[in-house]
Amino acid sequence: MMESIVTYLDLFKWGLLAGGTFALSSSFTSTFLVLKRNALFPHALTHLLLFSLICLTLLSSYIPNILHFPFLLLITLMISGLIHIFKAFLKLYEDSATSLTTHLFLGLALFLASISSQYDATLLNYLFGSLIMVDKKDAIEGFIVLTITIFIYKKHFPLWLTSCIDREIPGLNFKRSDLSLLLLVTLQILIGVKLMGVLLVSSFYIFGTAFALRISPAFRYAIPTIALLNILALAGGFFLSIFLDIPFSASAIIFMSLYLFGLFLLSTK
Amino acid sequence: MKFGITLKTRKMLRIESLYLSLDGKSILEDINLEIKEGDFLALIGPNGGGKSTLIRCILGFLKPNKGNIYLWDKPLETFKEWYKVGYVPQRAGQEINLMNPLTVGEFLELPFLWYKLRVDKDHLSHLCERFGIKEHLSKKIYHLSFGQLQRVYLVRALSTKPKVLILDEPSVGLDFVSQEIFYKILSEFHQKGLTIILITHETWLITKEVNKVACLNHKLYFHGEHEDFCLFAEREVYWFNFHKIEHCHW
Repeated sequence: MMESIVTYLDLFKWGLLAGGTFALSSSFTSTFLVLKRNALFPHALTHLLLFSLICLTLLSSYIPNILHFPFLLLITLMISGLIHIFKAFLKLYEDSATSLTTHLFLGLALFLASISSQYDATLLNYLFGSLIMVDKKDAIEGFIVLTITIFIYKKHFPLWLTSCIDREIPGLNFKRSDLSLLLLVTLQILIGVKLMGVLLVSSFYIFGTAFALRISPAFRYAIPTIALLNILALAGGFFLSIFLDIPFSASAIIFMSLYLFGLFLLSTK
Repeated sequence: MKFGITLKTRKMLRIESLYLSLDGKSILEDINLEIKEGDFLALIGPNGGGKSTLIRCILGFLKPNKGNIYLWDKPLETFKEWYKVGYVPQRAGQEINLMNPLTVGEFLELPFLWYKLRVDKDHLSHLCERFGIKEHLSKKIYHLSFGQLQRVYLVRALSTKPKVLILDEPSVGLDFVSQEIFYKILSEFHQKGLTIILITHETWLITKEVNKVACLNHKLYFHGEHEDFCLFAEREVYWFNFHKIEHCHW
């Protein structure tokens, strides 16, 4: 048994390492999304990414491989920018603007997919993720995103936190800090989807976060707790998937449902 | 005059010919206002008269269509020393999410992070004691009652030792005793030299605490000493404006 675990660990080492960087990165941003009542935003982003992916599949013969990731990032950012445009010009609440943009581009993605009939393995990997396909390069990308996350978090967290409580403070520019959060979450989602697929990635933004926010005695403990819970979910999901012989996405969510159970227990107290 | 004392009072705020329209509706018209350091100004007027909007222009949240605002003689666009301005918004704390684990202590340290200042623990501790919130410091912010939250917001606004405190209807929802205590503490800070701009409907304050009054209903109908305001009110011009728009808060 021990031998097979070691074999699996060796096989999935880059996947786990990259997954770990994503689990840590997401813990720095998820708190603010949940506190801004925008927990579905990462899920919406995964739908926007689907549109970008189908565009990439259609145009892949014209775009060099090295530019695939920047292309995805650019298109997804441009579309997610629409959320802010809808919010500002149509005077919609953020959740309504997010919902409208998501559904619009999900529809467009399906339309493009149906007229082109161009699905390939890359697209399937992006949709469902594959820890086994992750290599050293992906793990390095994960570390880069984690470094960027920590850097931007340190610079902007007072404003991110304040914007969960107040919308107007003299001398503070919330528009800039909101934009930085949007850009960072988009970048994290892009990397996360590659590792875990759209089905799993957004769950890292809510299960651990909701539980950690409830059990933290103060804000300063929330993010380390989320990071710990996310890493636990990654490891727990990995071992469950080995023992139960089920896909990693499913096992990670099954593991994270323990946090939901914990929330129930706390509520009945 | 090596050891001479300068008695010159500096202008804290100057507004020149300010106009603002929102969605095609004129909200502020030709506002000219001057506030000196040490003033306690009550900004009064009917609901929808533009009081909060004027404050939001002063704080840089809204950009006027025309006119200039100066804080300590610096144009608002170039003003950087925002730690000198304490602000307690209307309906403070409404955005607080019940999932937020932020404690009162952490909440009070936020201004030091915004303005990159060193936390003045002694000053904070003194304020918490004076406002009776010391025992709540480790409590989560959403556990506070409305009255406690108002006091916490006031402490946060005063935490960076501001030169001016701007309050937008801070005592709404407080009972009469709490209001009395609230204004008594404000008065103490004013006597120590703090400039205060207060949007209020509690006009009984005008005779008690404030020394300047501005009466706003889209236009500035009155701006001056509170004694003159009483005369002005006697002439019923202020009353006339109130009746005209069918609002009366007295």
